[in-house]
Amino acid sequence: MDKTDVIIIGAGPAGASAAIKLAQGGKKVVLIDRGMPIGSKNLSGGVLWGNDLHEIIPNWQLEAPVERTIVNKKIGFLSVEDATVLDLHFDSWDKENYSGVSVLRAKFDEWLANEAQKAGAAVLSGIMIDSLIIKDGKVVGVKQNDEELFADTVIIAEGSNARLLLDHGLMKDPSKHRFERKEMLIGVKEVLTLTRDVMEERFLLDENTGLAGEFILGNVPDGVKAGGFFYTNKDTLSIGVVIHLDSLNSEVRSYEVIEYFKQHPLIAKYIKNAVSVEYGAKTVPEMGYDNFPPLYGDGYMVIGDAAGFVFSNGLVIQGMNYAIKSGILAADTIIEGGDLKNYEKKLNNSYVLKDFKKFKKVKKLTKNKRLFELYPTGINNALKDILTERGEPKQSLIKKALKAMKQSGIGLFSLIKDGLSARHI
Amino acid sequence: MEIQRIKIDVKNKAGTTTWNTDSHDRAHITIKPDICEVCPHQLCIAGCPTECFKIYDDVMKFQFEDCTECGTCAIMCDQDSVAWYYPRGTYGIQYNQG
Ligand SMILES: Cc1cc2nc3c(=O)[nH]c(=O)nc-3n(C[C@H](O)[C@H](O)[C@H](O)COP(=O)(O)OP(=O)(O)OC[C@H]3O[C@@H](n4cnc5c(N)ncnc54)[C@H](O)[C@@H]3O)c2cc1C
Ligand code: SF4
Ligand code: SF4
Repeated sequence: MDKTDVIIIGAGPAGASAAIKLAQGGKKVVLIDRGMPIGSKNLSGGVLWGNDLHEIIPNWQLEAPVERTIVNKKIGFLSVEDATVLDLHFDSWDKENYSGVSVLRAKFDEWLANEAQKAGAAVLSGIMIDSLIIKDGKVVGVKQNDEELFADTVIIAEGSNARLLLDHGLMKDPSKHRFERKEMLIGVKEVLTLTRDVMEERFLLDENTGLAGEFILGNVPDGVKAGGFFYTNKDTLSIGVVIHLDSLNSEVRSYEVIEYFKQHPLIAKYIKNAVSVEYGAKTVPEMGYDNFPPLYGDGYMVIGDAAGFVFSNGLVIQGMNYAIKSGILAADTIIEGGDLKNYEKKLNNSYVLKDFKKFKKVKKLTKNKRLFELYPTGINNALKDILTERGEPKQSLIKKALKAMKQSGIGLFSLIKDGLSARHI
Repeated sequence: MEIQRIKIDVKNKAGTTTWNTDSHDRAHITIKPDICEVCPHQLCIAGCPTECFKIYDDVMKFQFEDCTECGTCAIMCDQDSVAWYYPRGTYGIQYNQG
């Protein structure tokens, strides 16, 4: 019988980080991924906040295939024709150890898995695990076709669709066999090429600095709730949308939503002459703290997206940082030789579960129809009204803004209510 | 202001992406067309980012070749028509960028 200390299913940031930490701690670990090369199945925005990577790879920023350090953030509201954008230039971010960097996952994940191998983990690519092996209620190994591999502990890092958890009844409700539309988003993304010169001139960037733009889309019809993002890489742009699946209806298709974003007058200028070189999609879990699956059980732990550890507020999506952190904490639990329930304790004591508990209410805001349907248009109309000189007597600003908001269908009470829940962002 | 409807040919767009396609008898996702025929919403069509679901002559046709393995159809379909798996190792979509 083939047996090792730990088997990790999935070599995204969660699984690979766990593998590195375990190998550094002297454990025999096997990291398995269905992609070949590793990374070829993975896609994200993506801005990586890699604070926790320092713990396992001290100089990761110098060694990893990172694209650009984010120093400019654009946060915007798009209505059909107009845009209001908050433009933040934080050049100081470039000097800090804790800055966000843009990454392309096919390259980044391959590099991280390679680091796991260098640390001493056995890394198997191109292998799709069909099922877990469960004996007397304990997860003891994994199965592919007729081959079996056993371990003292199995770490499930399979990402957002969580097939193995669903198939084996390891969700909070064991009878659950698929996710509900309200628990998931779909991200649809393209990579566009743009020469470095044009990119740096167009976006006011230096050689290594970059921009992250995030927008609420008020220009998609039929009440579809979506946010749009675009990030600069070295000589490409990542552009995409994240759509609430429960807001899609038969009139608007997911692949059309990214076009509403790209064809918005402002965004179209940003991406002028950029040519698409890749198109893809992936789901983003948004089940919320109360619906996370059990985070550990007899013989196994769940890390990263599979556990539901993604934060989104309608504008940003952060999952890679939680993936890395939860991977490290799962590894620590094994290295310390304690009970697997210590993993949940560690999560509770770290920012991972603290964040998700704190932000429980944000989900309510991101599901709020006003955020997508009314505010982008309301904000643009209000500001336009204030700033357009029509040769009329001036009203007070607040009065004017409220009036324009009201004309866009936003009442004072809902403004106050949403303002109150927005403070959780 | 009225929103202008956008229609595009997504198959064209997906042409930039790389796939290592498995043989037909190993399709990783299958559907039951008779369930689809009486489906109240057919939301798989709205969800799928590469238009793998399409109605021809009143019958739902599923085509697995352009699948991004995103998992959306398994969530949109609440009628138990979609049997959903990932392709076997090394097959399916191959991102060069991600
Ligand atoms: C459009 C989009 C934009 C995003 N933007 C950002 C961003 O800007 N910043 C950010 O921090 N996060 C972002 N995210 C979220 C981020 O991508 C995820 O949170 C992160 O990838 C989770 O890492 P993971 O290791 O848990 O899972 P994944 O990265 O999904 O890795 C899971 C791995 O498991 C493998 N696998 C699955 N099942 C099996 C099996 N049965 N056998 C073998 N291998 C298997 C998969 O091939 C994959 O390699 C974004 C997501 C999307 C979709
Ligand atoms: S949602 Fe399900 S049952 Fe309905 S048409 Fe699509 S696949 Fe068929
Ligand atoms: S997994 Fe995604 S891409 Fe594949 S058929 Fe389903 S919805 Fe379409």
